[in-house]
Amino acid sequence: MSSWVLDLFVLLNAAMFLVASGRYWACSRKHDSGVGG
Amino acid sequence: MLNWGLMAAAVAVMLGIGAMSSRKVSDSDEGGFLLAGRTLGPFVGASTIVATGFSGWGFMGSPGVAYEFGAIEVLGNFFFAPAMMVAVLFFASFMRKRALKMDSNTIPEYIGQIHGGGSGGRLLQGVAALITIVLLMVFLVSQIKAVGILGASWLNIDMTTSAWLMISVIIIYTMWGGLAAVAWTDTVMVCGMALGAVVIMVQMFTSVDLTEWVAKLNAIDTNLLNPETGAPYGSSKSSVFLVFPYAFLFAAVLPYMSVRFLAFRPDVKMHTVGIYVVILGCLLSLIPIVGLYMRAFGPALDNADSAMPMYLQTFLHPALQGLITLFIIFAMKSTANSMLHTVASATSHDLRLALFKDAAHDSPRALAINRIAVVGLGLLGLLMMMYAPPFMLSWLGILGSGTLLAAMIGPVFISTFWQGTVTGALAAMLVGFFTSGGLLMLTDLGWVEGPLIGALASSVCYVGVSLLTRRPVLVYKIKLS
Repeated sequence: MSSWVLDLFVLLNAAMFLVASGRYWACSRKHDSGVGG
Repeated sequence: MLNWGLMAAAVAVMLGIGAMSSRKVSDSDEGGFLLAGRTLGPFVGASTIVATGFSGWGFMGSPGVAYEFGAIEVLGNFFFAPAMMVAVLFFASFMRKRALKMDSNTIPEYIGQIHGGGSGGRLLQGVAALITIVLLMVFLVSQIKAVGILGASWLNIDMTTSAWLMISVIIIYTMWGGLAAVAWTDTVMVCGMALGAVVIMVQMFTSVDLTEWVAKLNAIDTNLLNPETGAPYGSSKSSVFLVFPYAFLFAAVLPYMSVRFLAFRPDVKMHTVGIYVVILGCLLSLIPIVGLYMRAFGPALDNADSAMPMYLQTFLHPALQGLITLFIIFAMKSTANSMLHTVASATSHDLRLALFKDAAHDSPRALAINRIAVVGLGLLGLLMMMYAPPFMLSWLGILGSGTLLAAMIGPVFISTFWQGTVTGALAAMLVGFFTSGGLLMLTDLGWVEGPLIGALASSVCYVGVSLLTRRPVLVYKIKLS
């Protein structure tokens, strides 16, 4: 995008979604297997 | 006329929600009023967290800063979204479990109980309530003023009448339904805010070519897209990243934010809440891009703060302009109602229990006192807006939420994982308050750096003083055994 700030903004947004969905996936799996969550 | 119609419909919805949520309020449990009976589901909980965290600033102030300083504000404002997500995913459940075990109904009460309760706990509860009231009251006043000014131009009436109208609605539904009313109205409002963000993004990104946008901004000033400094956050580029820890503490520690963690239904999974927070936070963090759009394609502005109103006037159909202004009013109201509820409960519940050992709680009388506090403090906020000397308000405003988070980090955040002593918590609150307040008032440090240094000093003090004052308790325990 030829702007380091906006590139970072897009990357961090993607990272935020990745962390939230990763956590969701990990916790749901743990919960499904009866380990608790 | 259209705006009055929208306003009437919005008021009817808010009051309807207030009436519905009053079912959560019970005479025999103060948690009904103070914590929505711990019934918040994942979407309502996430909505109220995001709506309260993203105030009118995100819609009005932030686009102005982006207009003046460029894309760095888009990044700075964005950090609130991941910060809320981290607070929800990695802190909220710890706090909720401890609060549930102790039956804490407010953050000052949580502070008192987690440090052992008794007379020491009551002292902490009282001090935390007092700091909360002093620092949040001024924010409530500033939100009332902001919503009053915007409402006045929207409805074409004078500012005082507009402020009366807006705050009266908030007072009525908050008094009626307590935190449940606040959370449910926040949910409606955040949906409006997110819809507003989508409409604005669609208009901007479909109306221009991205390369033309970039070229125009670079032709005005290359610092707008590729800043050499971190202005307005600091002289170094990296200073913008300090917004992230600040925003995390904002979400995890400030009483009007973290009280929501206590109000979730016990079976709600925080990883589900996190997903909603991320989606809503992402949408709302796009709003400051309006400032960049206005700088490239809008008329030249004398005052950067008018970037959003001028954008709405220049680029949107009058009907959409009216609707999105309503959503901006929603953004301000959703923060104001949370502050009113927190300040009122700090007064009616925490100060009362701190001052009077045998004060009534979980009774019809306690509920009446909580409701009277909402009305009384809402009206006090209005009177302060009209009559308080501006220097006093600006003096307290500078201290602000940053100072509140610096004071609360030890007793709220650290105590959840590592329990200090009453003396440690008291010292931490006072050191955080005076360090952050002193730095903000007496030095040139920014609104992020001052509170973060204050938070560091407060944390060191909490741990240090707690370690130093813990020994006599241990000796006492050994003697007992």
